[in-house]
Amino acid sequence: MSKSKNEIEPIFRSTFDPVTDGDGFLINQKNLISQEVSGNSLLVLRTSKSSTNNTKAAKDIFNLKLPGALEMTNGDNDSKCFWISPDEFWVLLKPNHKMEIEGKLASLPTGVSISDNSGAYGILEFTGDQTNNLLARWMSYDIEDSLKDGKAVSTTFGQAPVFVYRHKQSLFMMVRHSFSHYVAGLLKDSAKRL
Amino acid sequence: MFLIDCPYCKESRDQNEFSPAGEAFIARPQNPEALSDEEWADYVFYRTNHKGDHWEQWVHTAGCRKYFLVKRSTISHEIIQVSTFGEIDSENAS
Amino acid sequence: MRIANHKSSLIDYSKPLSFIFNNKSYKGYQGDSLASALIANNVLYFARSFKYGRKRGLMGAGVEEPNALVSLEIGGRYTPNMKATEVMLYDGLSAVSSSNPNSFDFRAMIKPVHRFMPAGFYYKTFIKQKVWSLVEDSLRSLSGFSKAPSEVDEDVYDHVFQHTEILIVGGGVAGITAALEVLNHSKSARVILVDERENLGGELINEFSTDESSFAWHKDNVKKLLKFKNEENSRLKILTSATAYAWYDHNYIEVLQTNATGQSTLSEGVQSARKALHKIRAGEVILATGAHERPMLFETNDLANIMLSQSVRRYLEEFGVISGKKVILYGNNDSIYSTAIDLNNNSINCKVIDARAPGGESEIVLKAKDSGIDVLQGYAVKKAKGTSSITGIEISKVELQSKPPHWQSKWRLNKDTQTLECDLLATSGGFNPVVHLDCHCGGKTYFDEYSQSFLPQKERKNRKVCGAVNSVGFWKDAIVDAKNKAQQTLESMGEVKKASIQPLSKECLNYYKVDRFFTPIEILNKPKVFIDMQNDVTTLDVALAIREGYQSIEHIKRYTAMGFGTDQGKTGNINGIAVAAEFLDVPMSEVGTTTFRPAYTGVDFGAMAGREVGDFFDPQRYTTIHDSHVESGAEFEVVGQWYRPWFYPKHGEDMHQAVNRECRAVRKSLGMMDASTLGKIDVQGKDAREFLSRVYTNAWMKLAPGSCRYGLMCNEKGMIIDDGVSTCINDNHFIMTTTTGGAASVYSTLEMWLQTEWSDLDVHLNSVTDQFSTVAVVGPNARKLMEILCQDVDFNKDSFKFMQWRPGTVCGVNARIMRISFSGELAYEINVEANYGRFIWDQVAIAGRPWNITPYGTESMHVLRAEKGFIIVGQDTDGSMTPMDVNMNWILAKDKPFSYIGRRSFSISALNTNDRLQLVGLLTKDDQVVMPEGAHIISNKGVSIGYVTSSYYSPALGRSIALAQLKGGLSKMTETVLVKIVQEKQGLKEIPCEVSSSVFYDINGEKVDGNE
Repeated sequence: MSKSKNEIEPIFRSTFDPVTDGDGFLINQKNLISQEVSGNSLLVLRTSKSSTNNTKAAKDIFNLKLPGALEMTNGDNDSKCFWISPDEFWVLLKPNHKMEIEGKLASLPTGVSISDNSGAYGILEFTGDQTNNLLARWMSYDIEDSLKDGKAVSTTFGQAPVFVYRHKQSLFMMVRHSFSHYVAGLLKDSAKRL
Repeated sequence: MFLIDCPYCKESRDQNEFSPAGEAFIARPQNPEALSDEEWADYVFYRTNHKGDHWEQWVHTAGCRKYFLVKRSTISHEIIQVSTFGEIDSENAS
Repeated sequence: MRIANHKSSLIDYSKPLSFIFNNKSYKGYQGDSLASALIANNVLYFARSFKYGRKRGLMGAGVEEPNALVSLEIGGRYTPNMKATEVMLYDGLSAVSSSNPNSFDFRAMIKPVHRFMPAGFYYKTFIKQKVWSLVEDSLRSLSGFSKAPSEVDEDVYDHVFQHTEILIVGGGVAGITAALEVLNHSKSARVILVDERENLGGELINEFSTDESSFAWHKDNVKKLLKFKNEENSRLKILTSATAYAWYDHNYIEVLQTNATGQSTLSEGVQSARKALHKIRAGEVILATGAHERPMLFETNDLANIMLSQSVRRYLEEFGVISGKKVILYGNNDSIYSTAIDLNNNSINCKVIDARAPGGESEIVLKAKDSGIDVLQGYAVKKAKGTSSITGIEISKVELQSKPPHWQSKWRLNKDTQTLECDLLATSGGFNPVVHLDCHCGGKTYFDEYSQSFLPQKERKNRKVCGAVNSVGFWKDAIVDAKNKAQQTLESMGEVKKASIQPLSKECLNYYKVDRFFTPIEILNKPKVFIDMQNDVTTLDVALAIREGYQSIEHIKRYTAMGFGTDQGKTGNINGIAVAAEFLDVPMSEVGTTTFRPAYTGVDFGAMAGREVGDFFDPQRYTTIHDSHVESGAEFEVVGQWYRPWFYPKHGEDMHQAVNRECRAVRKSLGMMDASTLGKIDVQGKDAREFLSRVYTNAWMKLAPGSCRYGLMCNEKGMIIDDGVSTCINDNHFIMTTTTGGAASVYSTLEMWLQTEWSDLDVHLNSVTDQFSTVAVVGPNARKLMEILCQDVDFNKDSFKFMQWRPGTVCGVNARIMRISFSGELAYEINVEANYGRFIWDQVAIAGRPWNITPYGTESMHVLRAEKGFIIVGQDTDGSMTPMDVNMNWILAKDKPFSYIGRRSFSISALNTNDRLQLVGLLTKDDQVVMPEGAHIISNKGVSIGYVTSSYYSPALGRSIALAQLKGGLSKMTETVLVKIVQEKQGLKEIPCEVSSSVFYDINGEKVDGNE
């Protein structure tokens, strides 16, 4: 009995798996599609009081430039870096990219720290003309006018905290997994009446 | 529901993204044990409850999660001034 | 009745509708309001008044209506107290009067006694409490309107956030003009135009039949607006059937929009929204809300078929209906003549009584006279005659009249009266600008003598006013005013360099030549001169209030209940102010208005809630293992927002049986629990230890990597606020845990200290609550199971000690395994990335079968920890307990250099008295009695000396156990105390208890290593 446990392949469940259909769609209707984007790792990078060290760390570890307030930058392998606050950045990476840099994480400069939060969030991608209308049901942020391509903001969706960014015609929403049922429920409900 | 200009995000956001965090400029005593019970109680319990322009702390709970200072009129709710807390070396890369 | 051959763009005579009112069937047409359809069917009486139960008819045509309150539909669709004038007719509509005019009404029966029931009657008569309690129920059942709904609202309501650069409130002439002006002179500004009616145009529609140019203007400009609206990526939104009812800080305005049919429709299985609540944030606001007409005052002015003149005109022009055949128009301004001309054009017999003396007549007056309409100038209506509806009026010549600007009225009415017959009286005493919204958020009004109206304050940040709300009453002038204000708005936005302004003459502010408020004492001193129709407030009530010393308008309002009704005094309050001014002998400006507050018109509770009802009321937060719990049939408990398994009933067990089974399984063999909901905070940085030392009461400097420690957290007041186990990953890296419910506030508090006081500390905090799933494996057989699940950790009890952790691979998944125990049993908490939570749970359940592994929930968890005397912060503590109060002096580090949070407070005198509430155990003398939590411990003097915080049946002990806060409890061991409760149908019960230690089981802590 003891050996067989190691032969079972671990089952990874993405955040929105319980609420999306077989093809990964949360919403699939005219002018409005919402799908989960899974298979990303999320590292939370906290920076120090020395901007030189911060810039160097970002470059050395991720080969990324640190973005300015409410902005995002893009790097190789589809990696992205988001500004969350003056001393907090989120780095979205492919898991194999994360594995590659694991060694570098051991030697961070003073005051710089990294925390893995890959399991904490799920990402939904929205496309279609009705995206803004749908989100306007629950978000007080002016996504129509203020969320242009390359902008990334933390705000609220109903009573849940979310992180949204626009990238190449799509709108992405990162949701903490414990709020995923709630957010998905609101989205599906509002979409019915669009 | 009023708007607050977050000095870190540098953007105007709805009040529901923020949480109030009490009167500003109340420093924690460096040596609490040197204070009398009355002096300690003053720090812990007493606030000015000012009618008029009030310096207070707010935190951008649903946004950058940073604390900052707001000068707000408790009569008209007008926000007169907003400023950051402490020092952050903020060239920040780009 | 309906006008034959009536041409109205708003009534669709090809779409007849059926409806029911007060149990009778009627027919109307698409485009009718309920009111207009009832007028068409010759219904005169709509409701009874609040206090006196007088039969009332319609007064107006819009939201200013005070009388015609109806309740719509039944059951889950029932809506009380709508105005018949704001309900658009739909097929199958069913409504009843809020208080039936046709049924017997006790209040009306005691009519002769009404003069003894002025304002303040109830208060003065029943001030002695004993008398009041005898009659209160009966009085309440007699008064009021309609009944509260008793069923859940079936309808769906949406909320929509809107952002716009310019919001225009009011879609009449001024609003339409302003919208086009800003759209034409800006490139990208978004514009939202809001109007309460189904169609744009407002009062202009009344002009169509007599002024061709108004019709053409309307057609042309609405077309231009629609062109903007229908563009691709349009920047214009038009919201109709939408009322802006509240204005809050920073131009945040709420608008309630009604679905066209007034009820939800079901199409393709989807229930559409009955109403939408738009939450609009606007950069600039242009108010074009128009004005409400106010009536003239005279005796018995509340009889049915006494209406507002412009309302009669609107019913005629827009709806094609009229409620009388012999009409008299009466007023103090020119607008009554337009109504008269329209009536005359439809061959309806009418006469005009003008309170103003002859001389200086406007064109419209001459036009009316020329078309053969009888006009009497310089006469006043003293009294309306009739029993329930009007049959005639008594008029007198007005003899003396002061000329403006002197504000004191010096009218005198000649004693001789004439009687004229009529069956409909339409009055106009002038116009009240609809300033309400502007004043919701601090805007003030000022009384303008020239226009005899309260106008919105001249300047307000990011807001302009135009049209009738600014007293620019004539539509062609309103166009100019609106363009000017739009230009000023564009200038302040930087869209135009300089606003292009066209001047308006002073006369524009009083186009209808409204004379001053007609308040001769001969009329004011008569009974039944109603100011507020809905609440039966008369001029004598105002006089009484003033006599009794209530002289400020805010006092007069509250003393008389003037303006309290669902119409919020829209037709009454300004007249009331004029009456007060007359009695007080002061100018109108000195009386002022009462405060205008949201909501301008009624808002359904359902609309306010939107979709945040039922499952959406509060976020339901689930762990990644949740669906397994559901499949296992767990009952859930809501902790904060998290849904935690409470217990897992098997085969029809009740909670008691399930919990006993679960607890026994844990203590005897093996249990498993989902502990993922606890707050987890990642702490990194070279000052991590120092930080923990400052926020916890105990010591952290020597905790070795690979070890864990329980920490207690207090606030500056010295009160316990949270607790949890923290784990040392390495010198610069710790993971703190918090209680489930305290996670967010603890995290916020910690950040506050770091950011506002200790920014010199090199520490970063990250919430990792959602990052990890935690599966607890608990019981004497836990080690055996772990050895199967995880091959790369040495679980030997000397290698992996209690309060240590190890990294390992559990079923192929990277994990941190912690030996922490909340039950006192041997336990391992497996922490994995949340995406693997369900997988690990399932593997544990499968692998644990040989030991009959039993999932257990929060109830069992509570029992197990209580048996061991472990506190739950927030249950056994309530923010008023110090560590000493809960007998945890051992956790207070003695020699930390930094004065950690709470320490200074421990030594203040109030926290060191010996009668403080202290945590003890209670053992009921009758050991099978389980006390209710919250039950109080009562001293022999009959006062509470504490209460039960936790109470359970303990399967391990075969008896009940409880924890309680008891005054001076720690020095009362083995004493007997009395808990007293009151049980339904059984009365008072006394439960004697022995005060005991709070540790009931495994006192020496031997089970934690797995010893049997």
